[in-house]
Amino acid sequence: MKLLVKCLPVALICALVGVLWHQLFYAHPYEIPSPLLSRPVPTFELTTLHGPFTTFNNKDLEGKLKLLVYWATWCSACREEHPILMKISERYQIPMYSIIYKDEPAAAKDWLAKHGNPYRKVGDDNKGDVAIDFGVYGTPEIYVISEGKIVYKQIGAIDEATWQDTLLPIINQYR
Amino acid sequence: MRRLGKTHYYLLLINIVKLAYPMLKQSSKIVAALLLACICQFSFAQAPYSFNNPKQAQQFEQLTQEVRCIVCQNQSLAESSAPLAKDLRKKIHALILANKTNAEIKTYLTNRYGEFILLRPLFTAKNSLLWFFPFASIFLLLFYFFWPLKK
Repeated sequence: MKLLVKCLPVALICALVGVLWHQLFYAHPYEIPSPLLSRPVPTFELTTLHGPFTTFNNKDLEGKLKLLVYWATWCSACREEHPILMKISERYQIPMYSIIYKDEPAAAKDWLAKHGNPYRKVGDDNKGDVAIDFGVYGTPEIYVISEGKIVYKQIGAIDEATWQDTLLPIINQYR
Repeated sequence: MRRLGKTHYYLLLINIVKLAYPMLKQSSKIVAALLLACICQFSFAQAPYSFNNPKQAQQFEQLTQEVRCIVCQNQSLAESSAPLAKDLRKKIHALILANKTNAEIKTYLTNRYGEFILLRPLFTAKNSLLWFFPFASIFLLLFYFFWPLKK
């Protein structure tokens, strides 16, 4: 008992140092857990880049599993990610939608014409208002939406490995 | 001591570069982080916001200091000039003009970005360890000082 009482402060300090060590070297402070998970998609209404539809709103995201990508042409990580998104749309037949974040519609249109358009609808969020409702803080962000609810949010560009190991298992779970 | 000639300075410079180069090469991540910090740091003059009364202006001042810039993480909205911080300041301004209280605005923000956006953690059961750990450790320290183990 005496020994236990004697060792308690040392054990506590070791635990504290352990926690701090982990937070300092192994935590990902940039990946903030979203409070939107398992909540319905925020209501929004945006104009689209391409016809035949002129508006893109939250009702488009109801029903079966869909992906929503928040991106911009000024964001280099988004440009790097694009080929993988193209591959995903070709290989997996998942309906993909996107919103451009504070971008020039003409630039985004050009980019999609040149590099391929994996999206059914592309909304234009030039003021970044809808982005605040989605809790966007670092483009690109991918939202996995099932039955109108956000089930997962991926922050930052994905590569083949992230797709196979993280996103695809979640998608298969809801598909 | 012999005075240093020009060649000595050159040698010194070359050696510093030699030493620093691999470090710089490896630390592109750190450089990127520093760049981000610089972008966040050079704050431009805040866009002047107009309010209906001084109380609202004070509310804005207080709130922007208590809300974290999610991009620059350890800065408040008031300090940061990241584009998202600008947008959020605009949003808070609009909410204040709509006569929302501090609590309502904080709920608005945490509903979208999570509790992390508040620089001061909420006083909840989940955060109890965070709030009570300092007091508990002081208490424990005093306990060890004044509770001799001898019989």
